[in-house]
Amino acid sequence: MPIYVNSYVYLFGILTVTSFAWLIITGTILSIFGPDWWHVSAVGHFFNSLHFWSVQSFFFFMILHLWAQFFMASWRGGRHFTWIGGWLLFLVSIVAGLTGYLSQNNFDSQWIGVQGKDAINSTGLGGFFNLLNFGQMYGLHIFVLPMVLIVLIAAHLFLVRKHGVVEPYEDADGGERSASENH
Amino acid sequence: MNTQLQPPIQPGWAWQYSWLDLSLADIIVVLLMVFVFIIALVLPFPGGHDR
Amino acid sequence: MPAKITKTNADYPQTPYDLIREMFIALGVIGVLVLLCAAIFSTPDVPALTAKQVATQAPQLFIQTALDDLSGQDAISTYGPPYNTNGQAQTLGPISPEAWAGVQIPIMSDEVEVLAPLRRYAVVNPSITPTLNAWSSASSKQQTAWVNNVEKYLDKAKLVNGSLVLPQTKLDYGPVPQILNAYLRLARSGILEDTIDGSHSPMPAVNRTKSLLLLQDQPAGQYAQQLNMSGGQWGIIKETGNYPGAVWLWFYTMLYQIPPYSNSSSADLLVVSTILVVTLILVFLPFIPGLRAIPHALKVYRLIWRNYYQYERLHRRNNT
Repeated sequence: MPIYVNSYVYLFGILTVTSFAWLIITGTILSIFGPDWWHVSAVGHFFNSLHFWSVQSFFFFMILHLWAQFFMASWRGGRHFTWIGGWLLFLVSIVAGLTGYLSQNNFDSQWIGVQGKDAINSTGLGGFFNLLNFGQMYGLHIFVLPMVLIVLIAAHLFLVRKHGVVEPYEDADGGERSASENH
Repeated sequence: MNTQLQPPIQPGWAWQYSWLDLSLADIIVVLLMVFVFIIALVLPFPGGHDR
Repeated sequence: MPAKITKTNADYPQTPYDLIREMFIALGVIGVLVLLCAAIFSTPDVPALTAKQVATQAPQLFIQTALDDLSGQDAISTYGPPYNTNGQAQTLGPISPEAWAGVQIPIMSDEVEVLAPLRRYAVVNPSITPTLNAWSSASSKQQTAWVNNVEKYLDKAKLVNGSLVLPQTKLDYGPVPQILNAYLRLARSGILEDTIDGSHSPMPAVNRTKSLLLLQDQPAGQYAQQLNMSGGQWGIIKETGNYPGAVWLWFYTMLYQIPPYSNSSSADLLVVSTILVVTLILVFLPFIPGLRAIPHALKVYRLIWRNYYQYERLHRRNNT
């Protein structure tokens, strides 16, 4: 690992991936017992809580990771596909989050469905991607979208390994000044 | 007969200003994000070359 | 040209690094964090809003919903695509994907939400059949007149033993009071949603489009308002109660609150188009001159790589 990789901001990516790992683990347990389990069982509710807070942690660190990569302009040196892939991951994650909210089977999911449908309908996709169809949303949420995310994360990690982390801006005076400023 | 629907819980506190309407929980999360980011920027990473 | 990279990653001095170890530590840290949050804060679960609850807690609201459905004045009967052709599709100049896609999920509220469930219910309670026949054999002008007459006196109506009793007037209510009473009974029994959704296929009711569209306007809106979750209250990013919601959608939700979006009749299409453009700019940022130089101008990178720059400086000094 190059010596310039020396800051806590480099940890946000791995914290996002491990949050995703917890999402898969808790989500698998929730799906084994079925969508009504967490409403009727204290243990189920606890696993729902683990899943909910994993989502918060996942997006929390993903956004911090995005900020860090932006400030380092990490697309430099032929790394533009890593940046684009990161955005794809963010967008698919938002859809995964949305389908998850819609799979809750409570007032929150009802309300998000009837509110969100107008935006989807305005794009002409309302008949194909119907937020009020629980079966469709649940299937997308527990299988299709996690699979897409796993593939995209694998590609993202592969690109990061292939190109390595981005090199620092080489402006000597910037380095000089920043070094003196820090003392 | 003209009664209102009653949700079983109360809404959380939200900051309302003009068209802004942000729940306390969301504000805390965003502030925490900014805080964690700044801390991560400023704190020296262990095993670094600071001295 | 600051963005130019003169040496690559591997040309720099290296330090040893254990990816697997880091991975397991991160897994543990997040695990503990999530476990603590789940144990301390749990999660919200406000039960689904049901027709039973609306019919019991706010009977007038429920009756008004049924009347709007019967007279075709509800939000879905006048929605347009993908549900029907009675409403204006959202447009942006000549662009209207909603109109292009056309009717994908045909729904006429009077039939889908009120009459069809009552006809299914008539199998168990045949006494309702003449009432339904009286309604369906009347002209639509007559039907509208009946509904309007009931609406005029709805405020003065009473519930007696759970049944709607309208004041005696010269006006003709037709079969509407009997329809409403049967509908109220059906709703209070708790099976209304199932009689709306679950009849067209061998599947259990996993597609709840129709029953969700019954309560989507006034009842769900009123409920959400009390939970601070209406559209104007940034409801899309809010979670029920005191929990954090989908803050990552802040930009999307914010657009709905400000002009020109807030006063457009095609707000949804306008918001979605804006989001699309902004997202494309962010995705293709590496190729946009000017914008891609922002991080260099912001100079936050000096803080991130301060140790390296200091190392470089010492290195250069030692070499000279």
